[in-house]
Amino acid sequence: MKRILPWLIVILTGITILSGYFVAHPLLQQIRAIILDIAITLAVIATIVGVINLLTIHSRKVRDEKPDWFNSVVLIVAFAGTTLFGLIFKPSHPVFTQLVASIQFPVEASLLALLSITLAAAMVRAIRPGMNRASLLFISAVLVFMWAATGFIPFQNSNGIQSVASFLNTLQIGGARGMLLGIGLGALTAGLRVLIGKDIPTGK
Amino acid sequence: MSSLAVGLILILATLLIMAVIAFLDRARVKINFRQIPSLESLQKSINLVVEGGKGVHISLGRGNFLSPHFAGSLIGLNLLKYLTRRCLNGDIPPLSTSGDGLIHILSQETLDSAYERSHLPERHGHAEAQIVGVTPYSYIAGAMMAQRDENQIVMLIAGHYGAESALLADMAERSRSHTISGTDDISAQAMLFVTTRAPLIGEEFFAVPAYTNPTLLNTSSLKTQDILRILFAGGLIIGAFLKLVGVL
Repeated sequence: MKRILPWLIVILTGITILSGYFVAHPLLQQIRAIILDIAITLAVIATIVGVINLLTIHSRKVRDEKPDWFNSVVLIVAFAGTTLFGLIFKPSHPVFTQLVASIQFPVEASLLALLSITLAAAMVRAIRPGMNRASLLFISAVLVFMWAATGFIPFQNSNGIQSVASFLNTLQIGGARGMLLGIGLGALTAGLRVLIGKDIPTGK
Repeated sequence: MSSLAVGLILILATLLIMAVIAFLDRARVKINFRQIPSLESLQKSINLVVEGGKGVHISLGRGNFLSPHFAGSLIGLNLLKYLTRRCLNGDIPPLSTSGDGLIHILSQETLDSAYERSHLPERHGHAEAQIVGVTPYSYIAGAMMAQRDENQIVMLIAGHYGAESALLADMAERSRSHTISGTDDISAQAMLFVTTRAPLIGEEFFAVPAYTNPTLLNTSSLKTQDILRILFAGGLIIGAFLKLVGVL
């Protein structure tokens, strides 16, 4: 019962929200708006719970002096500093915004740069012995699209080249749409299974 | 016809097809699915975990429950439930990391229910269900650290991610973990396709519940997906043909 009750609430709210999309009754719309407000509040509370969990894990790492425990110290200090600064000066304060932007954006940009290197390394790995048709297809697709992106296609104004480029573009749009269709239908059935109440991840 | 009406018809048609298939298969669940190499490798990986006494790390992503991306997280939680039950046979609970508060709470609940089902005391602490970051890159960095610290032999990437997921997959591959990945995001799928050994492509990710837990509902749901996909593909081809001949 302890686990069934929350999911009963999930099912009922799910059906109400879904009905709200299709039935334009004012009462249903009002209930839908209230449920969404509650959901947003709960999401915030869940995030707070998550942050407490994050801090607990890192403080435990420091206490047990696990490898790289100093990283956890940096995390805890940065978290405490950001929270205090945000509480005192409010998150919209220009200094606070500048401070966050000066640290977060360069770090994320570095990770993005690392991502491009990772992909280049993945391509090199694919060229190694044991290459299959899929890796061949991937490498040729990368090379063709990199070439096309540079804008250095000879005779790019000729009808023949444009037809080939258009054909290649149609191929990738078709493939992407096929995958999106599969994902969309998968998401639909996964949602419906939960609404039916038979697919409860936390259930027995 | 408005898009809302199309949506309603699609939902009702899906429910109807699922009900019909479930009714036809009610006597015996027919499992005649095609082989998915990545899911086959999942079975081998579990054996590796249980027999080798090494751990498994499942990364659940950061799908927000107010967005459509939560469907991917639900599949990830399904996988967590399945893995926990199997791994507890070898007394090795999996490590689960997430980047969203609600997914974290649900993953803890999933671990609790798996312990309860295995008649084991709820002995897992916070270490087995962790939230490692709440923004895309902080989450990936945190999950990479968790993978490196715990050095799990199997890594499952299952949930909603962006292109940054390639960093996590690459890290797992470099630490010689067997990596299986599945996501609902098309750009992340492209990244994971080249960085992991066993990627689940497109709808394969949403087929996981039917393969790991072939109940009547899961199998009829998968068959419904297949039927609808064939219908849509047929419709698209017929539509393209009619446009070609000038009817549309």
